[in-house]
Amino acid sequence: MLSSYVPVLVLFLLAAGLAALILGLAQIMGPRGLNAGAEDPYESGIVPTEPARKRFPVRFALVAMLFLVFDIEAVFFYPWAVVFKRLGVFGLVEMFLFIGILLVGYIYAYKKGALNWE
Amino acid sequence: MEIAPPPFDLGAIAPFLIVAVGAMIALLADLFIPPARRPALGYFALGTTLVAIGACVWLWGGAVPRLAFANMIAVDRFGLFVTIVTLIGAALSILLSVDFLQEQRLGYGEYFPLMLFTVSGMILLAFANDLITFFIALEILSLGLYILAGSARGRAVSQESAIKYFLLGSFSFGFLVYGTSLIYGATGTTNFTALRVALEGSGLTDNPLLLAGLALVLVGFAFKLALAPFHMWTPDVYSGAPTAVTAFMSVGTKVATFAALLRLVTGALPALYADWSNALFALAIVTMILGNLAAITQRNIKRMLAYSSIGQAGYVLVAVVASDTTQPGVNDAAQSSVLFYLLAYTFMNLGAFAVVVALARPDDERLDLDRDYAGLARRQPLLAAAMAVFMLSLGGIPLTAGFMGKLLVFRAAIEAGYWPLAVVGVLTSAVALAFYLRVVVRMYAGESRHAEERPARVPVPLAVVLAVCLVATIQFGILPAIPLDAARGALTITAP
Repeated sequence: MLSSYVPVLVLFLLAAGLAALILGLAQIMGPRGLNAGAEDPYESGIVPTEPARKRFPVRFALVAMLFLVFDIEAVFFYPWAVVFKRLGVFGLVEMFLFIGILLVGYIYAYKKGALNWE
Repeated sequence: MEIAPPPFDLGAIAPFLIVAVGAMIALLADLFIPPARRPALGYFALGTTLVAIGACVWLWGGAVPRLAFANMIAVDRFGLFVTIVTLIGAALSILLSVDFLQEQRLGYGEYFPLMLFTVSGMILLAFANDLITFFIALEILSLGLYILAGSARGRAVSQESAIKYFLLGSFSFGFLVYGTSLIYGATGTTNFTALRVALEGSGLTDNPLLLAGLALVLVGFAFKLALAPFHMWTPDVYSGAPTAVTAFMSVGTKVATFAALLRLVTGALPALYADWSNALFALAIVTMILGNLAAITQRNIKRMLAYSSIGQAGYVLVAVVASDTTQPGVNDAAQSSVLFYLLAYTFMNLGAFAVVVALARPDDERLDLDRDYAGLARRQPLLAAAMAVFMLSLGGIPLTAGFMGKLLVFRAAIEAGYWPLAVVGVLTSAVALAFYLRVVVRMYAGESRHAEERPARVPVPLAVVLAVCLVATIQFGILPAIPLDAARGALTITAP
């Protein structure tokens, strides 16, 4: 039973070994001391042009949330469309119920002005 | 080729449907009625919970127990009993909120729809017969509570409460999902009924994956139930959230989650009794000691009630530990005491919070035990008397519901052979009396700091809540037969 976990153990050892090897090599071969690059958030990454802590309109968060809600609808629709005929009337009624519940959310978002950018 | 849909038994989930549809109607109605009429939504929500209670009563006498929706939902009297308790708690919390929101200028917003959505999650939790259903139900209930905890948007403590609750709640869901996946990996099923069948007489019970999964799921439960040492979030969340919300979540969440725990461990995992009872045994002892000791040092009434609710959860857990399904007599005593205790706890805890709500002023929530509760008996004798009864009941003084609950729980523990739990329980109850009685002493012996001001007017809905809680707390303490018989009749967990 436990023998089936040997590959997991091997993978774990490989990962640990590789990490130790890379860190060890960096320790032996890497340059010492602080320089300008070492102070950056991402030492070998793109040179930052401005501070990351910026204000941005909360509207984007709202759009992201709305997208999430209505994206799930699409995720649910595709597999439903594939087996639509085989589900028969039952599937149709179920999907309308689902859309009805989503519609409640849509009306709510609309009336609260969530879709109004200005 | 036609795909056969699973059997479609809407009647079985009628209470859930009523509350969920009621929540959506309330959400839409909120958009179209003028702000001045918003309190009506509270009474609509109240009506919804009462109709749902009616549906539960109808199902109680009807064809239960039955499994529905591909065995993912078990409608039995156990679930119905818990649902009714949850709905009573919700109805009282709604009555508590109607005037409180207005007085504290919190605005109604989505308060009542969210409350109903949360209640629908609690109902689903009581009926969940599958780890997936259970998880979704807990999500519904938690998402609503995260927002409700932050519903006093203008107050930093409320925001802090919501964020803390959200982060730690999400964290605990990680444990639950991981545990669920391990249990599925070990047994090939997430269904409670199928789990029980798979584990009976199989060699699986020593499977490390299964045990690790069980441990993780129990950690998730411990977070949700605020069992020490997973209780750290509770005092901050409970004291930061608006008092009416705290009252609601300290009662409803605990009741529904304890029901789910009991259903999982005794309905699905009786074969692992030795493992989970040991884990819960340790949790119960730590919870009873930590919760009650920490409550002694609190000066803020909401923080004190938060720690007190941790301690109370420890007592319920004692009875869960004693639920050994191989000894039917012991098991029945233990499970009926869990149900009775949850019912009693609902009334006495909500009652205590109702008094806190009654004392709150728009500019000052009046939460300090020394400053605001001293001399209360002279200024508001009725409120003080009610608070005294709830405190004595929470402390377990005879002739109150809390005493009967503790008596039943400890007796079940002793019958099951867990006398250390009973001993720790009795000792911590004695310690707990210190802080429960301190409130009473302050109210009757102290000098009031607010002597010159006019006593708070208690609105009618709040008076109703206080009266109901008071009558139930005393009645269940003197004549516990009615609720206890109902609890004993509700013991069939999960039909085959």
